[in-house]
Amino acid sequence: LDDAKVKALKGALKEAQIDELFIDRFIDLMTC
Amino acid sequence: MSAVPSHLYGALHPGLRLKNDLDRAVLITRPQPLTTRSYICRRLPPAEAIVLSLFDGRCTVGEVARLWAELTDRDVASAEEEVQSLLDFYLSGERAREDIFRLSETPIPEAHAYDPADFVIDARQVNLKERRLRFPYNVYFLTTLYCPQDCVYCYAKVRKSCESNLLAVERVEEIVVELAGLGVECVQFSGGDALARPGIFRIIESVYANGMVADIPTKIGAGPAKARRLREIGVEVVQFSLDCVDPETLDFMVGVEGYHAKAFRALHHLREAGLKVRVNTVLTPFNAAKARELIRFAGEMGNIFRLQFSAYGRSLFRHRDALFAREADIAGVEAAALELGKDYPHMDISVGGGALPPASDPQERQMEWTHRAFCTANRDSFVILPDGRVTVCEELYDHPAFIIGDLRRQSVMEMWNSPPARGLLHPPQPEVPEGPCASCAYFAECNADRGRCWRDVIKSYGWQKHYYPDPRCPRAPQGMRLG
Repeated sequence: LDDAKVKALKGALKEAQIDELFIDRFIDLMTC
Repeated sequence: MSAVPSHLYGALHPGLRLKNDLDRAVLITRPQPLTTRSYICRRLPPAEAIVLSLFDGRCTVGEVARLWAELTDRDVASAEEEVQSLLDFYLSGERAREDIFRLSETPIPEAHAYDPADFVIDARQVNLKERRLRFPYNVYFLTTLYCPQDCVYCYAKVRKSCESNLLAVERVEEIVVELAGLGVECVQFSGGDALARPGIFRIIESVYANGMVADIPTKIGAGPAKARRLREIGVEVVQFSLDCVDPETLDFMVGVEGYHAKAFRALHHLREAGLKVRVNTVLTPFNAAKARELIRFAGEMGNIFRLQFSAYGRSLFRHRDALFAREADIAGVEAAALELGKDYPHMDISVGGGALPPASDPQERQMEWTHRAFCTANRDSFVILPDGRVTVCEELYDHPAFIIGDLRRQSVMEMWNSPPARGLLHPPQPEVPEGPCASCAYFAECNADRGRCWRDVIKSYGWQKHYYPDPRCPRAPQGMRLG
């Protein structure tokens, strides 16, 4: 992940409205 | 949990895979022949997948937090808090026991390096609710239902000769290319005897040429030249079924006089070719007392790295009650494994199988049912039949209620997204002709979410009653004994 990729990724996150991390603890699981 | 020191390096366990799943990401166990991991599948929002992907084994916790702050244009303290909450989640409770995420004082070279851009998914489109994967990940291929053996306990719908309408090798090769493009990593072969199909080596070659691996179970093994060819193609592991080493008992269980000599020869050929072997043993009252000799034999072979005893479970096609392992049989094998296993630290021995009856206490039974494991059939996986039709579970074979497509005339994704495939998890309740499911208020959620074990349904109530409840369901009538 070089500087150019970080810059591109930053733009893509903004576009996709990904701006925070929230852990949902309730999305499940262990399964011849 | 206290904060994770910022100087530590972190990475997902290499036995897991982060995947883009169209409108969410998934974290899923890689089906590798050498894996010892339990199977997990968690749907993730894109931000969680992106932060996990930044942990490439070369970045410290502090570096990931700073990078996340930069990527989201926020202060480092907020980003650090979020990264710590992610680590707290993955390093606590069940996730910690499952060894999902690793921390280290030094870089983790075996970590997979993902491109975080692969997980940029529009936040407005994210769907974490539906369990079914957008792209199938676990693929089984029953190469042929022909098997030259005649095992007394066989659960498969085997036949005495090869099918005349096998899917053409050229078409299989096209399917393999498509699977590789979908991110499938392993094609799990089965049968019949997987190696008894004409053209099988060309098919296995195609799997490896497309960057995937093959999991191959067999009872016929391979001669020296074929064993070498498997190794040259890239195969590292073969699963071999061996029920005991006593010649008379083995021949009886496999139903072929003189089979034992072929089996021992095949095992030696596999070892000579440099292949590792996983041995699967079906445990019945006929071979349980011979387990000690089998453990000794397998341990001395040197290339057998896992020995799995599975108690006989009801076969749809050749059942008799005398095959059910008794409690004393299982206890005896467990004791032998514990005692002799110490002499063979290179070999993992496990004893499992044999269905437990549902709890007799109604509340306990309801609790077991509510928290049952997800069925992965038609959610993560599908099964290609020898002629190219597709079913959802290996043991349903050509049952018409579970055929969801035909790869002779459909691509994998056309099949996966077809109305029969998607509809199988949402059956119309008015079409249930009779039985407890016809009037059950939980019907839609039961089928769409965790699912009924369709295999156990038809084993318990018969091939025709595929619409009956899972035998574990508190509303299910008493069915046939399964294990």
